[in-house]
Amino acid sequence: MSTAEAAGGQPHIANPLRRDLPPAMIPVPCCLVLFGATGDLARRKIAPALYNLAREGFLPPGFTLLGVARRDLPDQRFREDLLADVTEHSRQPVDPAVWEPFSQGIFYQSLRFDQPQDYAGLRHRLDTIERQRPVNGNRLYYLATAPEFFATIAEQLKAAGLVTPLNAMAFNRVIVEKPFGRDLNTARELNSRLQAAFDEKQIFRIDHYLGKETVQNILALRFANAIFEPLWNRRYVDHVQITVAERVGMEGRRGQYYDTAGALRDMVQNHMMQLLALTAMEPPVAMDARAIRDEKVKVLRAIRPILDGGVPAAVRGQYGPGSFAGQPMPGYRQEEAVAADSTTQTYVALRLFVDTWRWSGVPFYLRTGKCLPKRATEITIQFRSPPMAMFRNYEQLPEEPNQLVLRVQPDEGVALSFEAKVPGMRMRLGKVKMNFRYGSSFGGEAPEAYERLLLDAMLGDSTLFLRADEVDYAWQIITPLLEHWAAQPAPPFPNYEAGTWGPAEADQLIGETGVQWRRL
Amino acid sequence: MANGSVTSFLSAEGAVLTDPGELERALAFMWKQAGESATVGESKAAVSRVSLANLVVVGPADARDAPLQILGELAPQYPTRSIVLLINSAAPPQHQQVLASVSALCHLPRPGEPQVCAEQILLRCGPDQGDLDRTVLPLLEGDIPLMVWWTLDPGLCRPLRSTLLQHATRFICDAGPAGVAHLGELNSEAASCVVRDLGWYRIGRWRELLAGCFDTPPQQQFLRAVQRVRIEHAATVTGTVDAIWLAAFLAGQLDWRKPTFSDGIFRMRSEAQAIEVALAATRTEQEGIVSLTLAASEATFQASRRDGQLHIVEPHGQARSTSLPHLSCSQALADGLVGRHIDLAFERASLPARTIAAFVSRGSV
Repeated sequence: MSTAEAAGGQPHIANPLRRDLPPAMIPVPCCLVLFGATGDLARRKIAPALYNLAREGFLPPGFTLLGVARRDLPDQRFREDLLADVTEHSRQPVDPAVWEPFSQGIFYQSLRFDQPQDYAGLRHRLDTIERQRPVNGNRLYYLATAPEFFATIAEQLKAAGLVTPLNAMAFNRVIVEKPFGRDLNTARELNSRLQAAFDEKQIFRIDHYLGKETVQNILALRFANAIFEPLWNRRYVDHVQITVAERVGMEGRRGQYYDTAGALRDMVQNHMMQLLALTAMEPPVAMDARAIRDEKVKVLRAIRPILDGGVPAAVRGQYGPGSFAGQPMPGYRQEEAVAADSTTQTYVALRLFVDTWRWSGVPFYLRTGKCLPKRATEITIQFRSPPMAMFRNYEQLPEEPNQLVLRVQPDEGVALSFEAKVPGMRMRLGKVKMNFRYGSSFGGEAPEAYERLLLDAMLGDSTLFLRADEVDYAWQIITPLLEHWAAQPAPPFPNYEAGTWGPAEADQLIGETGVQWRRL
Repeated sequence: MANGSVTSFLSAEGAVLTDPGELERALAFMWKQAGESATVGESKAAVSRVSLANLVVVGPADARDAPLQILGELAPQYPTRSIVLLINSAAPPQHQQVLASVSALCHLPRPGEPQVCAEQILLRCGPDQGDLDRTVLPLLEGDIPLMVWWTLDPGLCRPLRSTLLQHATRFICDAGPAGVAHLGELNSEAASCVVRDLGWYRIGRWRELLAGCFDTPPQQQFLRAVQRVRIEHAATVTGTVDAIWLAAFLAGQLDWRKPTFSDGIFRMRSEAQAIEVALAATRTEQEGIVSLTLAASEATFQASRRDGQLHIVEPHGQARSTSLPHLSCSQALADGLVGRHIDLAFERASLPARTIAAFVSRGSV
């Protein structure tokens, strides 16, 4: 680890032309060693993201990509494959004038993840490349492989001497994809093995939700405006709903992975815990990685155990066959690569409490599921009703309390609903909405999440990545529920039709406090 | 000529402005009409009116179409209530009337979504009779920042300029070399306003890409040894300004001081040596900067822009290219309107830029 990284910052930049340029936009050149380079994630997300960074001018001259996978491929073939993937998946068309110089920095190395001798070959290849390319020993290892290889690769890199920076100014970092463990024990083991190879400051654990503009906007909305924080607490908030709804089921052979994971591992433990933490956190003392992550960890630590009292406030579900507009939709057990008697949950609803001064007694309702009627990710802050129903003697009572809705996707934006008088001779109230939409309020196109995250990793900014304790606490919350469900008799799946909003039990869960799920 | 009725302000000729409320009524009428007639597919949908800021544009009447076109391109990137003052300096002094018209700049963010529109107020008037500031201020929308894009000769309309500097959040000067030379004066009049020159943003990508060429120690060593700089630029006002700012950027970042001018060359000094900087106008179809050459005693760095690419030849012969598409005026303006409040690189470049621009605007170069 370089001296500068030990201090938690970017490597010292001696280039006088970079003095006081807008910070952290163009990183110093590095070699991105992409493990799993021929896999789905690399082809659909990482390669297009790198191309778009190059296209937008965010990649420095000298940026180098070394794809690593088990297959044997010549460099040129790998470049051609990558071009095809970028052409298909990039948000912007491929410009040959950008691709050509970018592709000159792309190389490929065949490697078996568990074979030490192959890492000696990797080291040799890196030395050769780095004599030709001006990366100055900066390396970013990206573990875009199946999760069972994360620790092995890290350990092999360490054993091959590929973790220690080549000089005091260079950096070595590692990006680790999700899933980060299957439960608390496996996550701790993975953390332990990673930290034996890399220092924590070198480790960048990805949750791609944190790369989304709208998720980052939660911090901006809360802490760049004075009007929301005074209301953002138990005195004014009745409850919070966080929904991650997916319209699709299993695409392709995704069932092969999903059937071993389920919604609780796939969505709740990571993405939804992050959304909850950002919503519930205290203002950080600074807008830096450490301060923000400290506050998120405090929230996770304060979440009351789900099995408090023995019976979890949690509902699980699995979609069965359904239809939409006359078109049949298969059930989960009919999906490709899914066991015919699978008990994997494709839907989860939870009621959580954050036991802090700010949130004591305020329920946080989380729901996520596949094959729901529409795709939507939202955070809804529902405020308490007015202390007096002043209009009850008039023609229309206020039916719904104020809601502040943070739309993460689609139709990204923020909406505040409130009651207003309907023009006319009578005092009638109608609900109206103040609506901020990203699409029409700012010009330009937002970068994809992976573009932002890759750039930040190259810059050494870990704000949008997970710290070891964040992951640990999230698993501490979820693992008891996993174990509880595993110990229960097989659930009566499927228990909701594809194309509906989940099992009836989920409505009962939220209905216990007299509220209902927001109609999206 | 149309009188003060609301609809007359909606016509291209406009109407004589006598009361700021007339314009607000005209705008309200315009939005009401737009909302009633807007359709999305088969269904009616409201038009979204968006203003991130007030943008006062001050320019000469004879360049009318250029700023209006640029504002049309700017609206999707940075929608504002734009108040465009077109000053006819040649009008006789007794020409006191201000003709006003209102319109909307609309765009469709995505198919199937409502149109997003920003409003535009166009004012045409004679030379500043001293009350243009009192005309403009009531037209500003409350609670949003005031930005100024000044394209007029900086010596004109001083009372208006002064008032705007007092009230604005950002003042972007776009008045050629004379504008750059006046930056010091503008700064002295500004209260908390950030004063910038549009040329600084036009070369934003040049600055970033150039900085990226010198990240390794051997390249930095070369920078310290540079003795001669040659900047080729389009023989246009913007090309000249861009070249001034690029030279000033290098001077500011590399601590080259005390620019003097003789024999067609600017001369500065670093700690170690003298540096010669030449700005060479060239007839070309390209806009802005065409090429940059940095020469030390034994090596040369060259960057030249062709066909949307920056072709770089490193001091030790390695050649490569990177994307450098032409930055439109609207894009540069959008960058300028959201630029950093404190920009130390600009501050360091400002003095050499003003010095060089003073020579250029005097016709010495």
